[in-house]
Amino acid sequence: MNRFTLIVGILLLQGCYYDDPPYKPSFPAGVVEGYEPIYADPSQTEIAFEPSRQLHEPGKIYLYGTLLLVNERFEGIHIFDNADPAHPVAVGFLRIPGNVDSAIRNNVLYADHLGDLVALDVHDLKAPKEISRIHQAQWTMNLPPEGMRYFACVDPERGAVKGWRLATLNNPKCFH
Amino acid sequence: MKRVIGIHSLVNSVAIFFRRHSSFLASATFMIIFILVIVSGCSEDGAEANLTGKGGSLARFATSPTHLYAVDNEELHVYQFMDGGAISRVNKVSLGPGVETIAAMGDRLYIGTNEAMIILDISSPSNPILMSQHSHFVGCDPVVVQDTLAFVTLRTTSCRPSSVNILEVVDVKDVRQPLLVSSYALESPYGLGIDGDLLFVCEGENGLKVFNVTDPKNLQLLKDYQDVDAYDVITKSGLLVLTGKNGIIQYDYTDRNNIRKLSTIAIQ
Repeated sequence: MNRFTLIVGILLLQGCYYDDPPYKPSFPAGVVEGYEPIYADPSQTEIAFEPSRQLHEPGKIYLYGTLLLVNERFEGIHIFDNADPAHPVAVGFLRIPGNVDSAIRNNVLYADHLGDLVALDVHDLKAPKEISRIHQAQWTMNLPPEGMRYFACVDPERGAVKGWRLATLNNPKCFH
Repeated sequence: MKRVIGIHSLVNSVAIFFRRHSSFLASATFMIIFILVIVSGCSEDGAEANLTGKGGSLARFATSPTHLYAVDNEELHVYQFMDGGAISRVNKVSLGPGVETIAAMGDRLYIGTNEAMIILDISSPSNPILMSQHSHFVGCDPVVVQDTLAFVTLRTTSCRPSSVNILEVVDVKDVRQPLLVSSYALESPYGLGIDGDLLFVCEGENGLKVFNVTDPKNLQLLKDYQDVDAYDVITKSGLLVLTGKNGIIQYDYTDRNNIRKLSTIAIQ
């Protein structure tokens, strides 16, 4: 019985430790550097093929056959025809809000899309067809990418969070 | 295996055929048919293979012939490919905090976290099994693997507090017991790429370094390009695709003594 109590006690203590991390900040914070959410335009949360656009904040790269894919952080994927690497030709932009990662297998593109893992048939790049979608609760961007930082609280009224950026915050009310 | 037996019996038939019909015309015609059969067999093999691409070393998605593996900060998510390319969730493995990157190579997954390189066995692809953790200083660390060597970089800046910026060469022949072979001081390493005996290491605003890794105990620095911002690279048979603050830059490294810039996709 004693041993049982001890084990339960240890489990409870662990629970406390994880539920109540020791690094809570003291509020208010004043003017500090922290994260602020980037909201997806509620009218543009769907995946769509769009005309090519300029690179602004390129992320990960991926080679598939003669295609070169370049992620635009939290926005989607630039697609280039890279048959001649000396002259890559812009084919278009696959808008996938929240996107950071992707991979292609047998002309099916797998990508993260606002907390979901989506599979898109891209035999015709200009007409991607969704063939499966799995929700990954952990992939929703409701918390900033880095812990122990102040951040501007998420306002669900403004839409889904597609990413975060560092900014100077005035008295943020959230910390993680 | 069936195909091998098929080809053997075909070869036997050809031999018997030649013994019975020595006319040149007949044998020539038969040879053409024979070659066509072999060629069509090859292309059939090609069609059965899965066509996948290649990502950079900072990827969080990796594919095996049958499965997609994705890491988030703490977990490995395992999905199985279905007919037509749809996927279904089959498993998830807790890895602890600070997971950064994943690479699949043969029957293994190599996962870079900010405390260790974790190796998992995926010979049973839906059930990855933890084989080892090669711990190191706290840093951010992509992994690339070639044969039995893993190359890992650790960066301190804009990541986590740490004491080192280094490149580690790790012998992963014994998957349960990775051994540190050598390590090299770097400035601010990000992604990296390996092809044969050439290793490309991105150093952020400090450029791109190219090493000869013929002797893993003693890497030789071949080139140090400081005029480029390098975040991650992909190597693909002589083509280097680099991403950084200057844009997407492609190089031809077929001649290592004359690595040539091919093109730049600029950032606006």
